Amino acid sequence: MEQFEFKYPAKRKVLRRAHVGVVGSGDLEVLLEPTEIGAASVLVRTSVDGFKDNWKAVLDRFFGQYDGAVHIEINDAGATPGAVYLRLQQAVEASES
Amino acid sequence: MNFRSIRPHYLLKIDTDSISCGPNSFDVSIPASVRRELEETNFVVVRRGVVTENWVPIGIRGHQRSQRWAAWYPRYAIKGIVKPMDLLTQVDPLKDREVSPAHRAFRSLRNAWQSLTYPWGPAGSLGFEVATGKQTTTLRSDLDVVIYADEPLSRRDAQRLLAAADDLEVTVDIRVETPTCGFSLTEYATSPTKTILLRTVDGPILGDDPWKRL
Repeated sequence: MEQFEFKYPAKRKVLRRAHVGVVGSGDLEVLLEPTEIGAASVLVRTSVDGFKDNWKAVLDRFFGQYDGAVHIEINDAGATPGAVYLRLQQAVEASES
Repeated sequence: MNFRSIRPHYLLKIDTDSISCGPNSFDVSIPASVRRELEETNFVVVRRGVVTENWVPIGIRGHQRSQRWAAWYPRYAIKGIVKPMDLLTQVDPLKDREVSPAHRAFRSLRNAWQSLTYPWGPAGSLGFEVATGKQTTTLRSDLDVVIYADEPLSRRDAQRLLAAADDLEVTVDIRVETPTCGFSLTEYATSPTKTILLRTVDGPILGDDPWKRL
């Protein structure tokens, strides 16, 4: 089990919180909460050790497109980067609908 | 046997010499300890991927839950196929062994789901243990089960199945396989969003109809 935190700039207010996904093998859950404008933060808890660089790469790519002021918690059970990216998109969709 | 008859989570009895790891040899790609264990059981699991006329995508179990080695296996060399539904009635205490919580949870679930008409059965470590006779579950193993729903399963029915699985001793991960994708029963039954994560042979996508032809 590993845990890391990442921070990104954030310019836009987000309407509501969202919870998507499930913690099951090869999957993950994403909890998204609105915060004050200025910074977004992401806390990753993963059952698979040794992939911090991969997490950073996926999150860098995501926050290259997204500027919402949020705190995100990710509970991961070995999802692929593709699945992580989709879950993040799904959480954003849920927080804006 | 047509291509669709081999589906994700099926277990194949194999001959390790016939495994293909692509450009690298089997010996280079797979750690020696994993190879030794594989040679004891000779079982691999069918992973999601394109099953062709000649090749089946397989996963080789490692020591930890997160460890899987992807490889390919030639169809002609398959020695036997064990489906999760074949194991449904075989999950009983193994002789002279401690029964793991996942075992007990499975038997409770089997009682709770007696009226389920779709083919289903144990997958993951319990399925592997029952198929091979080799102790694979531990005191901390979750329960993995798979339901093959070729016909659409309503969200309401999914909620009922989930409610019946609510009170088990261990965490249960219920995967549903349709002719086009796999998804989590929990997510399908409880998701606040219309779309859920669908695992297809081309990777995961978000979609709202797991039975739609892709």
